[in-house]
Parts: sequence; C-alpha cells; structure tokens
Amino acid sequence: MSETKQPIIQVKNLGVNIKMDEGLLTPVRGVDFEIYPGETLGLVGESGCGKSLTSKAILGINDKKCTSTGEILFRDETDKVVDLLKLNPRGKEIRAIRGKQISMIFQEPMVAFSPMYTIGSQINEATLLHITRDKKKAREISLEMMKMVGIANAEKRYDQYPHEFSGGMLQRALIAMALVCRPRMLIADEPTTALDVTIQAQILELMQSLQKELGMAILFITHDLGTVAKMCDRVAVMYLGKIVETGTAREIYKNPQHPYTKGLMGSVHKIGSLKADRLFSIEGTVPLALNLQPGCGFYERCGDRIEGVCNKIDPETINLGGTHCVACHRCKRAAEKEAVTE
Amino acid sequence: MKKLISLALALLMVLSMIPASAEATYTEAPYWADKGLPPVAERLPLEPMVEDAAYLEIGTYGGELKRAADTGNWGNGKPIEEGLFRFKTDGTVEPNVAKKAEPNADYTVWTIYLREGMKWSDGVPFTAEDCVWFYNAVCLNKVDGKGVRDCHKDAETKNPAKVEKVDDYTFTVTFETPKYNFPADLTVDLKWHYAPKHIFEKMVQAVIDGDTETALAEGNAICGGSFVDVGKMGKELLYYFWNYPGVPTLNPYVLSTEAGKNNIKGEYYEYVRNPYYWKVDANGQQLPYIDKITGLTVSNVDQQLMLLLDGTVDFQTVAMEDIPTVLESKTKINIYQWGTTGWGDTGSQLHFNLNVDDANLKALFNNKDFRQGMSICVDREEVAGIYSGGWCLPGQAAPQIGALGYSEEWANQWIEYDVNKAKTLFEQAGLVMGSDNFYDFADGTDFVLNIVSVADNGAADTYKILEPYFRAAGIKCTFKDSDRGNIDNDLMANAVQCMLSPVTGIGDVSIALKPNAMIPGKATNVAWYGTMKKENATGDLLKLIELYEQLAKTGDAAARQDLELQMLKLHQENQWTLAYVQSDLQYWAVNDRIKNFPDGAVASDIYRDLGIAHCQCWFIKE
Amino acid sequence: MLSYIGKRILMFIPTLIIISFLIFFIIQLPPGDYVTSYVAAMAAEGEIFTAEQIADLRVQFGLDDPWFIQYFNWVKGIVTEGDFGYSFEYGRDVWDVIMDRLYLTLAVSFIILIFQYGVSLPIGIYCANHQYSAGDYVLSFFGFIGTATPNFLLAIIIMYYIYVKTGNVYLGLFSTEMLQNGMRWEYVPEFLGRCAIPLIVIGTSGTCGIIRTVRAQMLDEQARQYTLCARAKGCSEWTITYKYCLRAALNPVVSGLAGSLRTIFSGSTVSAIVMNLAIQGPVLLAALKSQDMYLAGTIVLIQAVLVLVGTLLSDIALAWLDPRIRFAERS
Repeated sequence: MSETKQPIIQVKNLGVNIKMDEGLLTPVRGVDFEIYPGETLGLVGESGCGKSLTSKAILGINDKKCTSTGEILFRDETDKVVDLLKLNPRGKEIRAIRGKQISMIFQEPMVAFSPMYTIGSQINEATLLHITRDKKKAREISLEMMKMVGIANAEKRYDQYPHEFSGGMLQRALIAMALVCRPRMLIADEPTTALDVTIQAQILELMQSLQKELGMAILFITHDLGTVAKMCDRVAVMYLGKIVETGTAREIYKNPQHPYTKGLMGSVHKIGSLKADRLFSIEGTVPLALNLQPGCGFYERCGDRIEGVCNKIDPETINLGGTHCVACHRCKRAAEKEAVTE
Repeated sequence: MKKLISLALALLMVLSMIPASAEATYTEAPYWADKGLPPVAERLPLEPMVEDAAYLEIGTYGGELKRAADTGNWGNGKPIEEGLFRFKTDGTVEPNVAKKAEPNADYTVWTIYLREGMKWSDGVPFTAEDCVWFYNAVCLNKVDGKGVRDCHKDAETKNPAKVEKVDDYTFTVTFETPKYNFPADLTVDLKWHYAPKHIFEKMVQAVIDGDTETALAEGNAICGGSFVDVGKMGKELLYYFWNYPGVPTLNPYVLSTEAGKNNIKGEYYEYVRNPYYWKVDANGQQLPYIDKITGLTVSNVDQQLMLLLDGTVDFQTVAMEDIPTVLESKTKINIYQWGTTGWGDTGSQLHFNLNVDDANLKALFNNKDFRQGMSICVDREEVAGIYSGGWCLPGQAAPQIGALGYSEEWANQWIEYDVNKAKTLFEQAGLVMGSDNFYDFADGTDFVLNIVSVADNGAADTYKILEPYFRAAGIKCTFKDSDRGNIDNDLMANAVQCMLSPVTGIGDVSIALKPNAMIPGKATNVAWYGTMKKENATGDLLKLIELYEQLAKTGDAAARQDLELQMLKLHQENQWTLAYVQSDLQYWAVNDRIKNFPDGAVASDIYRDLGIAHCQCWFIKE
Repeated sequence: MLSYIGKRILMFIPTLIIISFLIFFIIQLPPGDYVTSYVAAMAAEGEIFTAEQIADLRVQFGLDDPWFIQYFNWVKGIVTEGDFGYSFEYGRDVWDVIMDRLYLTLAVSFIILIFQYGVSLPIGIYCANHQYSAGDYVLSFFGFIGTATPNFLLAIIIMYYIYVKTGNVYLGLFSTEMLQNGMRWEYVPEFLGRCAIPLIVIGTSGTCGIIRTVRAQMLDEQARQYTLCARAKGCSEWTITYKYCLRAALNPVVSGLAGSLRTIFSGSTVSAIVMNLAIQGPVLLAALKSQDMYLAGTIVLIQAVLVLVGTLLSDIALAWLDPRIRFAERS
C-alpha cells in the first residue's frame, strides 16, 4: 500500500534541545514518522509533550534557543530529497519552502495576523513572495483563494483589517494565507482549539475538501481525540518527546497497544455513558523533560511497567504488523511471546 | 657784489620756505588706501590733538581688536567716547574735543574753543553750531530724554544756562551766578555736548513741532531702524548714538554700516576706524592704529574668560581668583592692575537707610554709637579670610591710599574686634537687652535688623558669615534677597531698612564731582542731590549738604580742596556706611599682542572705565 | 477623518485664549515690570534715573495701563493686524526678533531630532534583535550615560577636553571668521565640528529613552504570534523586523513626537546658554528675566500653538500607523 509511494516527508530521530541554566531541556527526544502525499497524519498527545516543537522544527521556525538534531527529509517538487535541518533557518532555501511547499496554520487566528495591515495584503504577501510579482495577478489569485475558503464578500473583506473579522472568519483567512500557494504539505497546529464547536466542524470540513482538491498531505496536531477520529488517516501518539505508538486511526482507536494510548482512549467521554460515571484519567502528570535518564518516559504512570527494564532501557519501536508500531517493553515481550507461540 | 646779494636773497627765500615745508606731515593707515578719500592732511583739523603720554609707544597700523561681552549700551560707548574734555587719572580735566575752556573774571561765562578744521566721521565739518544747536534744540526740549544736565544748571537758581555761538569754532555758556568748575562738571554730567546737526536737524525739529510721523520717518531713515515711539527714538539716537549705524560721531571707531555687522544685539558686530579722526601720535600718524573693534555677544562671564584663554578675545577683566588660570594658558596674556575708588569692598558694605520711616530705627541708624558697635562686633580677620578666600584684607569704608582724604587712621577706624565694647555702645545708643538675649528699643519694641540684598550677588553668603557676630553681640537680624526689580521698587518706596552688598557701592573718584557717591543714598540709584532732600537731613548730613552747596560757589582751588576735606572729615567722623573688607583692585587680562594698554590706571565710571585706557593708542604686534 | 481634524482645530481657539491669558497674567505677576529691570540694568552701568524719568519711561512703553488693558491691546494687535507687539529689550517688533533666530533654531533642532531618532531607532532594533549580547549591553550603556549626565555638564566636559587637546574653545556655532565673512566652503569642516558638540550633548540626552522604548517594544512584538506566522509564510527576517515589528513598536515613539515640535522651535535653553548657541531658548529666558512681556508672551504662545499642533499631528500619525486606533475613533 504505502510501500509503493514515497513519503513526502520523513522525520528521523528528531531531537530538540534547549540549554537552560538548570540543565538540558529535551522536549523532543528522537521522533520518527513519515507522511505520504495526500494523507493526513494526526500527531496526538497531552500539552507539553513536544508536538508544537516538532512541527515548528520542520519549518525551522523554533526559537533561537532551541537546537535540533536528527534528520527531516523532505521530497520537494522536483523529487529531490532535502534535509530541512541542514538548511540555514534564515536562508533563502528554507524560505522558498516555507509557505510554498510546506505551509503552517496556527492555533489562535486572532493573533496570527498583524493588526497593522489588511487581511488581503497579508494573504497577498505570500502570493507575491512565491508565485508572481505582478500585483494585479497576485491579487486575483489571493481573492480566488479567499473565496475558496468560504469568505463571503471577498472583495470587500480583502481591504479590511483583522480586528474587523470574527474568529471563524479569521481562521478561514489564515487557511487561505497558508494555502494560497498550493503547498504540497500543510502543518495544522491545533487549528480548531480556539474556535467554538459549530465553527470547528465547518473548518474541518473545509480542510478536508481543500485537501482533496489540492492533493496535499496534512500533519494534524491536536490533543482533541474526537477531531483526530474525523480528520486523520493515520495517527502518531506522542509522549514526553517520543512517539510511543503509530497506526491507522482505526488501529489506534480499536486496538491501542501502548499503556498510554490505552489510557488516552479510556479517558474519552463516550456518548451514552452514564452521567454518574466518573471520567477516567491517567494517574500522575507529564514530568518535566529536564535532565531525563534513559528509560521509558511513561514509567512513573504506567500500570504495566516492568521493573528494572522499563526504567533503565529506552524502549525500541517494534512493528506489530503493517502500519501499527509501538515503543513499549511490555508490548515487545507480548509480541515475542506471540511470535514464539505461532 | 650783486651776485652775492642775489645769492643771499635766494638763500633767504629758500630758508623762508623751509618752515613751510617743515610743516608737520601726517600719515594714514594703509586701510584707507584706494578708498577714495581726500588726503589725510585735509581730513585732520589744522591742529590735531597729539596723544603723546610718556608711557605710549609709537605704534604700527592694522589688525582687529577682539572683544566679547554682553555689553549693553555703555560697554560699547565708554571706551571710544570723546567728550569736549576728558579726565586724567589724577582727577583733573584736560582738553579733548575742545581746545580750551576760559572763564571770565567772575566765572559766569565760560568760552569754549574748538579745533578748526575738525570733521565728523562722514566728512562734514564739525563746528560750534553742532554744540550750540544740540543744547538749544535737543537738551532744552528734552528730545534726548535727559534734557538739561546738572552741569548746565545755575548753582543757585537752577535755571538752565544760555549757550550761544560766537563763531564757527567758539561758543559761550553763560550762567547767572558763578560756575567755578564747569569743565569738570561738564565732563561728569554731559561729556560730549554735541550732535551732528546736519543729520538730525529735521528729525529734532519734527519732534519739537510734535509731528510724530515725520520725526519717526526721519529717524528710522537715518539708522535703518523701526522705532515706533518718539521718546525712545530720541533717547536712542541722541543719547546712545554710537550704537546706531548711520549716525556720524567724533569717536575713533564708528559702528559698521554693513548689514549683519551693525546690530549690537546680534551675535557679532564691528566698529570700524573713523577716517576723519582728529588725533595723531607723536610722529604724525593719524590714529587709531587698530582698524576695527569686533564684538562677540557672549552673556556668561566664564565663557568670556574661556574665549580669552584661547585667543578668540583680546582683553577681559578678571577676578583675582582667575589670575592663575589666565597665566597658565597657552596664549600669552598679561595682567594689568588698576586701582579702584570704592570705599571698602562693595560686597561687604552695610548701608543703613538714614531716612527710614520708623522713628526708632531712624534714631538708631543715625546714632554713631550704634554704627560703631555694628562695626566692631565683627572679627574682620576671620571674615576677610572666609569672604575672599584669603585674597582680601580687613578694611573699612574709607578712601583708598592715594585718594584725597585718605588717612591710615580712617582706613583702620573701628576695625578692632571687641564684642563687649560693642554691647556697651549699643546700650549707649539706647538699646536694652531683652530676655531673649537680643537688644530691643528702650520703649519695649522689638528690634530686628532687616537686611536685604539683590539675589545672586554673593550677599547671602556674606550674610551667613556676618550674622553670627551680630547675633553674638545681641542684634537680631533677618535677611531677604530678591531680584533687582523688587529691590529697586522697595528702595523707591523707602521700604528698605538696611542693605548688604549693594549693586553699586559707595566711593568714587572725587567727593566734589560726585558727592552722592559717598553717602548711603547711593544705594537707591537715584541722583542724590535733590532726592536725599535737604529737609530730610539733620545733624552732620545737613552740614554735608551745606558744605557741598558752598563748594559749588567756590572757585579758588585751594578753598575747594579745603571744603572737600571738610566733607571727607564729616564722613570720617560719622562713618555712615560700614565695610568689613578692604577694596580689591581691578585686573585686566590682555593678550600680549595688544600694546600700549596702560598699567596702574584707576577704574571709575567718571573716567569712563576702559575709556581712560585710550584704545585709540593701542596697536597690535604679533 | 476630516471632520475629526476639523473639530480638533476648532478646539484650538478656546484653548489658546485661555493659555494666552494665563501666560500674560503670569508674566506680569512678579512685582515691577520691564522699566524696573531696565532702570536697574542702566544703573549697573552707571546711569541714574530720577523718579520722574522712570514715570516717563512707563508712559513711553505703555506700561502705565493696568495689565488687563495691556493684555487686551496685545490680543487685539495679534488678531487684527498680526502684530505681536514690541520688544522693549531689542527695540524692534517681536516678530522681527523671533525671525532673527528662527532659521538657525529650526536648523539646529531638526539636525538634533534627526540625529536622535536616526541613532536611537537602529540601536533599539539592534539591541532587540541581539538581546543580551555584548553589543546590546555596550550600546545601552552609552545611551544611559548620555541621559544620566546633565546636558550642560556634558557640554562643559567636552569643551574642556577640546580645549586641552587643541587650545581652542569652540564656543558657539560660528567662529568670528564665519560671522565676519559669511559662510564659505573652507569653513564647512569647522562648522560641522562645532555642530557636533551641541549635537552630541543635546542629542544623547533623548536617545536613551528612545532606545529602551524601541527595544522593549520590539521584543514584545517579536514574541507575537504573527511574526511566527510571517516567518512560516516565508518572509525574510528583514521584512519581519522592519515591516511588521517596527511599525507596531513605533506607537510610543510617535506619541513622543508630539512634544518635539515645540522643542524644535525653542531649542534647548540650558545647553544653548552653556554652549553660546544663538537660538530661541536664551531669548525667552532673557525676556522673562527682564519682563519684556510681549516678546516672552509671544514666544510662549507660539510654543503653546506648536504643542497643540504637534499633539494633533502625532494623533493623526498614530491613527495612520495603527488601524486599530482608526477603528476605535470611528466607532
């Protein structure tokens, strides 16, 4: 299935470190995943597990204090593979990729635009940067994209300022700005978290239809499991800077293997459950990624942990068949047992 | 034989010509070459005045004299002023513009002789008409705002004198009663006694006629100004005339007519040499030597000193404490020491208002014992040390060495330090020690000595030094300083009791010429005689006024001096004003390139301060 | 927008009336008047006035009327003839006296203003972009020194060192030669050198405030989400700094310009006195000290007008700069 297609992006052993006075902060400690053209990969995890830093590392827009290690192999439109981490974050090459080949949309649309300039001019900036220098043509292209994302009265809206737009409208505009150059990949960092539910649904539908039309890959970052189910083909679960489980949406939801994933699925409120039932939550909180020792990050909170193994040795990722992978000692042992018994 | 006779005749003829060719030849400054002027001999009067004082070197022409000051009206005028007569440093008067002044037998008519052939700076002849017209048209009608000066007023009747022309170079001044010292009085009060009639005639006539419009039009046309008030214009053009372009003068330097260089309120201005200046040096070179006086407007004294140090400015007065700095500078600067005429250092003078309204205070201030007490209750050694940083000596308000009336006894009068004696004197004067350790009046009223001064002149510090002594002797004092305007208002309203460090201290060149300069009324800055009215004076003050009136009627030099000495004696006996520190001298710091600057002159307004240095004789040698 | 400006300008009139009244009232408040200080100045030079002469002078100068009549005449003159009165001290029309120094004052002030902002803005941006670097500390340090030192002290120190090194005191903007012969090409280097001292002295006093403000604002703006967005779009760092961050950071700087108009007109007074610059500030001081009231009143009135106009202009500039303010005005 996916073996025949080449992934549009391959993240290998990505690490992001921040040097602080107290020691080394390692919010991302060896992340691997790939995304294939046209598919949506969901990146799921609690706040503080390193999702945003991972996604920003792809475009090289992390804060100056962060250093990235590993490889991010991107297949550009000429089918050439480029390691994005090797590019100068202020240089021309990565800027040619940003907005044109890989775009990103953010969580809060209200602050994503500069209040000093009109929405139209800010969208148009992307067009002028990457597509054409002709002002008239660029404006037409930008207007077209604005209409495509469903902004009513696009001509009038083009000359209006961000403070004259509602939240939902702004998110549409943000999507327009990200997609106006028809990128091959979109990174959506919690795009609907700040919106109310009805708007959420609209935006998600819009994203899906645009994806179909433009044929682009989406890295969808969220902590909202309901959205994941709707939007994503495959899901990667992240905990404390590492991917602990990857699989299709079905596999993850129906057959979670990693104790953490199990816990996550259990904590989703199910329609039909009784009001009196308490919401399940995983014991403990995500520890701080400071001066971490080797061993599974989930050790403290895991009900299935193996003493002496899980707290000493980093779990390696094993393939459970097809697209389902997991990084867990317990799962590994269970899989070995199966293999033996088969 | 015939040959011999004709030879002798020829020789005689030749010899008779020699005196003609031995006539003095005059030379002029190269500045005038190619300026299209008539030859210098025609520009000078027939008998130019010769500046040949013993200390003068024969100079060379050229160069510019550089000044910096926030000069005001007189700063520019006094150095170059040319009156009919002028003072010498010994206080006597010598001819200047006028050649001679002759009284008649009873001193009621003075005949003034001018120099034939003298010209204004624009080439028009200067004649007696200019002097006579000035008096009759300008002074009598008060066009210059000052009117008839005291020197022209009759000694007894106060009526204005009659001034009449005799011929082009002679005029008379006629009084009803004898005016014994007219030339000296004139040189104190009016000085110049002339104005260019050919320039101002129309304007003055319009003023007299009350035709304001014409007057203003004429006046503004002369100087390129924009006067709107006739009174102010008359004052400015006829009284401060040297400060306006387009007004010819007899001075060695005339304000430039070039735009941008002739506004004395601007940043920079120039006074240019007068082509018709009527003085020469001993070798017949027409003065002045230096071509221009340039002026930079700099308001701050420290800045003026800085400019002196780097050579931008050629001369400046300096305080004693700045002399080491001046001598250390890279530019070669010489220090000249001039005498002063003050009675005691002005900053340490204490003036009592002898005419104060309050009866108790008036009696007290007029009581000699009180004044003596105030004088001896202060330790002058200490005061002089703190006050002047050791530069000045203890002293009293008395004439300086060399001045008329000086005596060692007077200079050291009441300078001992004796608090007990002071207290005894206070009690003798009628004060009674109160329970608060301060003296009160005999009738029980509280006695507080309210001392005032003008702000920012150091008086506040002087008061801090003196007050502890007064307090220790039982005198309660207060001190208030405020700005000049307020103080003057108070003085006018007779609201000042006691003044410390007056702006103009007492003491001047001559008690005969300026009697008001010696008594406390000087602090009020109003003309004394006539304002410190005779009806207000009692005791010795009345005697003083009477002696002065007698002096005005005395012609004989010996008798005059005797009267002056009597007046000075009254001052000595009464010591109406006190001083605690001896007068300091005046120091001029002059760039070495300026030659002929006099050393040891005397600084006084009567001598026109810098005027007595005769800048027309200065020359530049790099 | 136009109606807004119109309304503001209309508000000038009552404001100016009140200000002119207050100015006049305060100037004539100290006891005495111009004649008092004139008489005192003359006395210092040795010329004595009698009481009647002084009374005459008062009539001559029109100072014998009660002050509200003088005020009324003054205002009448301004409104009907554009005549701002007569300067007793200078003996000329007030307007002439002001015009005399106006060009030089404007020139000096503009140069200083340009220097201030021209130096502060780039330094502020640099410091923000290189926060906590050595350059940040060094530049901020110099900014602080410039502001912490009193201007006149700095002027004296600089002049002292120049004197010690060269033996020349460069007092004032023009040397005697320049004043005598007018400006010539060979004088330009010296003139620039002389300008440098007031430039450094007066210019550095304001730079620190601007540097720190710009730096703080820039750091604020750089942390905002929209810079991240712009970067993700592919904008260059240059665009992000200058197009986006700077425009937002300029808000307080533009507000600060409101006062500059007035400062341009009168120049700095204390520094001008210390360095003997022939600009407007010392004129006002002298006029106030001698109670030359029409001159003083007119200068202060002009300053008031300039403050009003400056505030209006800076408000307009702010509205242009930041659309959110426009929107707020409209609603």
